[in-house]
Amino acid sequence: MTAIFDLTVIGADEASFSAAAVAARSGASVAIIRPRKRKNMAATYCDMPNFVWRRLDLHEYGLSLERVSARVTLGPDGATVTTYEGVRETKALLAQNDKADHLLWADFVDEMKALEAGRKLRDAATMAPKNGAAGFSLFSGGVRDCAALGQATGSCAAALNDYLGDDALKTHIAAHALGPTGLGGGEPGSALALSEFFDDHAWRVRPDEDGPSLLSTLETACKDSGVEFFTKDLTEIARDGARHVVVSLADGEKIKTRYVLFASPGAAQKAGMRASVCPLAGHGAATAVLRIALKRPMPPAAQNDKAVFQVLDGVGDLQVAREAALDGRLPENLPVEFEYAANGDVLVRTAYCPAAFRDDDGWREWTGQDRQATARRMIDQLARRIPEFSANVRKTKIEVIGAISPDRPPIVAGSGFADNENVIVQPNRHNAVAAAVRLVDRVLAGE
Amino acid sequence: MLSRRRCGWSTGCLPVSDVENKPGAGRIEGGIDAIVIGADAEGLTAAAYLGRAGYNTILLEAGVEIGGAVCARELSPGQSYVDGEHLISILDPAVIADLDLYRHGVSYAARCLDTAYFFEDGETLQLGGDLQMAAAAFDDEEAGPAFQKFITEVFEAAAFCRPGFEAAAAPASDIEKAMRAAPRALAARLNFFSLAPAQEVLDAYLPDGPLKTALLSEAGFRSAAAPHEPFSFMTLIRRWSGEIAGLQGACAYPQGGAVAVVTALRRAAQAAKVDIRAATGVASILIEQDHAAGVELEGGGQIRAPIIVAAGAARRVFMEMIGAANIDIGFQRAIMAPTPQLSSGHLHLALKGVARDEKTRGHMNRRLVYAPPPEALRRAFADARAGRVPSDLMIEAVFPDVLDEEAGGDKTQLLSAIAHPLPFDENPGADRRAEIEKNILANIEKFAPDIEDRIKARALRLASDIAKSTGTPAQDYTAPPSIIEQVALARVAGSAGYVGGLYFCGREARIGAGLSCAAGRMAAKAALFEAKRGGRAA
Amino acid sequence: MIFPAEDVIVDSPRATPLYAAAASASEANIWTSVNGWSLARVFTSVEKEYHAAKNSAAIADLGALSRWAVRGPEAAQFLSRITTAPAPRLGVGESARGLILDGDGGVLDLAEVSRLSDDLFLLTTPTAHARRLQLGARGVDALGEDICEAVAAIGVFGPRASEVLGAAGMKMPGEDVAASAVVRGVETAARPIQFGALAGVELIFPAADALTIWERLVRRGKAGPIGLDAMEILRIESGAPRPGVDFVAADHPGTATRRTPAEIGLPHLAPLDRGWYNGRRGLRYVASQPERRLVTLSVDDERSMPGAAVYAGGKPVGRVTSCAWSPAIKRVVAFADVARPVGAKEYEIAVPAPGEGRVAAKLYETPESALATAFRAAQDAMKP
Repeated sequence: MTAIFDLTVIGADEASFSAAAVAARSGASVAIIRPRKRKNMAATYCDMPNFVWRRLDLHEYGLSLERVSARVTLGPDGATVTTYEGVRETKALLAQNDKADHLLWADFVDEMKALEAGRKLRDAATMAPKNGAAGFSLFSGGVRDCAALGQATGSCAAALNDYLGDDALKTHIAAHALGPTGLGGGEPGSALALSEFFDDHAWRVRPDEDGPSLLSTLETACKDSGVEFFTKDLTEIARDGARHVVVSLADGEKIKTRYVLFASPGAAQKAGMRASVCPLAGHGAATAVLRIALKRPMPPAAQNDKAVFQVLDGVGDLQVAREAALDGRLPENLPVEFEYAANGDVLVRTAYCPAAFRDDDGWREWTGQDRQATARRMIDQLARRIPEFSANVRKTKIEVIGAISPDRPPIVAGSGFADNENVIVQPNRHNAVAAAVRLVDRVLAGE
Repeated sequence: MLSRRRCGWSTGCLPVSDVENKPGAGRIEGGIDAIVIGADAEGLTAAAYLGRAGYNTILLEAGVEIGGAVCARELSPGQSYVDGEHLISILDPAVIADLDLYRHGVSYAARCLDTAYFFEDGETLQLGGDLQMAAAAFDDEEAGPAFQKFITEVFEAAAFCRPGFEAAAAPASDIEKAMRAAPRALAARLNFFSLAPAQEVLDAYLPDGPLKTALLSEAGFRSAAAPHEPFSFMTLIRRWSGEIAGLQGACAYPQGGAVAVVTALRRAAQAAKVDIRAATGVASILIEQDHAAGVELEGGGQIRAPIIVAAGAARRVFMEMIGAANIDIGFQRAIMAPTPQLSSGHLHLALKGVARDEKTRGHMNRRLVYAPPPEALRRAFADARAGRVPSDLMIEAVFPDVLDEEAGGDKTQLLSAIAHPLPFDENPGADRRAEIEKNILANIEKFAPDIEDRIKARALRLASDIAKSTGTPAQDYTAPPSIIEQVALARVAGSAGYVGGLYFCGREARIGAGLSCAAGRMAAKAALFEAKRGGRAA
Repeated sequence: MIFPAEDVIVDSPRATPLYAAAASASEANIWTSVNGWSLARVFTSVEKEYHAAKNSAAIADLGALSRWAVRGPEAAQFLSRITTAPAPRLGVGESARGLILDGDGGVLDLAEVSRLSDDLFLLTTPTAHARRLQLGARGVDALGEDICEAVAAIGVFGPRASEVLGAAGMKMPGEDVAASAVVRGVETAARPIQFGALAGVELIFPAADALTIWERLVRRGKAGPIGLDAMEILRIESGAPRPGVDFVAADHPGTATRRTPAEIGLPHLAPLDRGWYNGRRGLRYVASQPERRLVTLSVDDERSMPGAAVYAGGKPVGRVTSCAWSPAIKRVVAFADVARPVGAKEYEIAVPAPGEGRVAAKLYETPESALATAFRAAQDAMKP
């Protein structure tokens, strides 16, 4: 037994490090457990909220923060839909493109942001043990709350159909709202992703190629704040009395802690911890991130190198892709998201990969071949929208997050979530860093 | 007095002939205390409650049949089947007690049905009808204790949730209070159960194996919420919150089939001096000063009454009988939410030859369930949603005339099966019907091989067929969405748009699939309570 | 009609069709934005503009308000569903004020409805309610069309209003009937409007001809432009609450404050005993006992400001929501949102001063509050 920590964060991504650093700065004793092998080279840029930036004083580390300038969907036949964070700006653009929905845009964004029931549901799902029967309390709302609850527990496609008329616009919103979660548009609870999406103020850190990456900067920030790192594999999490949890590591070392936090479902899934009840958890899927270096510079899509792009044909394709992933197949028409790195590299991401593959013999793990095939398909999807893209690819690097070994037993013993109120798993979030930091604040405040 | 059997089977949906006092056009009928619109089980329940309280009550039914979807129909000459439901599991015990349904003819042919599960690999699993006992006796070193823990915890949660499923009338503050009083561990579990996919809850409790596959199927049965999707575990909680003959989570087969319950309800209503009028459609509900004042009949004429309970679909009641221009916008939006495009299908078969020996009959004396493997089940939901007929289907089947000895024919054996999930078609063509029937039979073959050759008569009853018989839009018979969505919707619909004196117990006010009557009871109770207090509370 | 609260942050407000005219008339060059449209706060001086409106005539750019043309055989039912204004009872040319309520009787916004022909109505609201109109049109045979971008609107206020209109070639048939005419070749509709309870006339015409009409009113009619600041004084004097300032819409994201019509001092705009409107049944349950009330107070001090605490009988009961120095009564007139008992007549308002720091305030009767009082009295008289 080394020491007793207030919080142990398991994971090696930006959200985990940010949460750990913030917790440590606010006076908690914090440990981070990260897997031995660390290859996070291909990772796309991640959202870094303004308030976390300020709390960690990241400007002191030589990084700079900028806004995502636009959300763009490259549809079939060269059709492009663009929206901005600014409601009026988007409305004006929609009006300019003769989309009747521009009249409803402001109301739509407001209503999606204000899905109170949705927020309640999300919090209940993440914070369940701390909140008592918060999820169940949804049953006790008034008539007005219940109407909103019905909406929040419904599907994203239904919410969009209820509001908007233009198919390309619906596809665009669904792609950006659901893309990061890997959900299909028809799943119950996927409407929650809409409230996440519109609630999110996207800021990105785009480090220079020769400067430190955001991840290594956050690691430095953690160390500066006194976070203790354990670079070892996790073997077991077990309860220790009513208040504590003991985390066992590969070499037999044990860490006693008050709370364990998985800041991303990927880390939890890898650890065999399947317990997150949020509708956005997106179980059964893995995320692939691909970094593509080009042979020669290309003009950015839609002449905008600071936007986040989605490639999608129609809303229905998300559901088809989701089902393929759950089936253990790589979706034919893989929805992909991409953006441009500071040096002109293209960073591609998709959350619609299967967590494990399934063939005639049953489930099997990801192989190198699968990775290559996935990378190829991601490039193909981009090539469908960007002329001469395939021929211009020089080098690729792929990483898969959240893949699982099908036969490995879960690490967390007992009947999972309900009994492990000290183990908190954050579901897929649009802004994982912001959500993780808020979550840690609330956990440590004893809510 | 008719014998119980004849009554149970045959009068369930015959046209009511004793309608004499139909009001003519232009006539205004007064002196009525309450009007119930729609004579399905919920409507009958509401009417019986109001009648018993001494209210001069009229029950109006647009169609010629009393009983709604649940009624007896002819399969072949001399042989009939019960349409709509074949078992009862969530029938409100309070209704049975309050309305004296036992005295009015309900008795159980089988009160605690065992279930035999069949799996794709040919394995089988038997579970006793008393699940708590079955879990205690479960013979498996690993799964046994886990199953016992699972049943104990889930049953506790289900019993706790029961008042929440009477959503329309349970005041929010009561639920809030109950929740605060709930022990911490239960509260945390409730949270988990109400949000998580069934798959996940089962994964958390049970090892992989036939038991898990069986329960997964149970969780997805007759619900539009797929077991691998959020909120789906509540489907099971809802089913297990039911209590039949004092036994939680059990299934029963009433003497004469589910239609016997409807018949008993009708008798209870008649005994309470409810004036039942079939073939009397309501054109509109009269509202004066934001208070229900009566109804206008389709044939002309008005009936005035200060209390109106409506049992039809919310669309029909609020959009047609009251009109969009007269209801609140938010309310309209909530009740008009699209229904899931998914349904269950009923297949009734008359089979050649009757099993006589005790052993075979013993095997048939059960609820038979075919539970597809989890992956196949997931694909089935995806297929059905996309409008394809899934090849793997969950099947729940019973042999009514084995369960109910008196109902047996001499030369044929009846089999009643419900298959789920099927795509929802407003108006399926012949090819589609053939495909659905073929797939249902293929899945029945998994536990009853070579059944195809023994079929003498068959009746495939899809959502659209039941709708046609009851004269309602097919949409009314799609599979219900997740329980959490239903609870939300039921609370909104239960407010009846704040129209004073109007109470709603139609499809949108019900929670869970199956015959329940709780909505009818709660609507009538609310009406009586408010009538006594002299107005509706905010 | 009343402007809603000014926008908090808008990067680049849009120009109304009258922007060019207003900009060249603006000496002070002080601007703000409402609903994303640019709006002059002051043209010359607040006092001058105020007196012009009081004693002569003033014209204002009303382009920032939300406007819908509603057509269809059931347009009247549709509007009486959306707003509390009695649209079906309006004759052609008539207008009525109303409120927009949610299903539980909470106030979302103010509204004004004019009937232009049998099946054509004009709906004006401070803020846009596109979604509400979309939902409200479901199941009703009516079609709403947003005409904000297509038309320009000028409000003419003051005792000389009809003179100004006449000089510009626009003849009003009567005090409260809308009319249409061709003014210098431009199809123009004129309708009586109320700025709060203050009467005026609104001219609506195609956006392309905005400058022509403005010119004509200024030159021939000798009317000066009035900015938002002077209108704010007129508004408070007339007793009209401003959405987003004196009350917050019940569906505003994150709001916990819901106000009924009675609570914002406008019970007469949502009577329970006349035509049906959205939220009436919900209102029936909450209307009888308002928890709070928005009152107008006159304050013998110049220092009170929005947000200041209001006391009754020595206890804090609420706060000032908006206030202005009234040149007419030489005092501050303030809106205050106060808790029950709503019957108090004497209040005190906290001011930033040494010592106790409170000044006396009295209930001040405005045209609007007079209407509310008369309405309440009539209601009480009807009770058994």
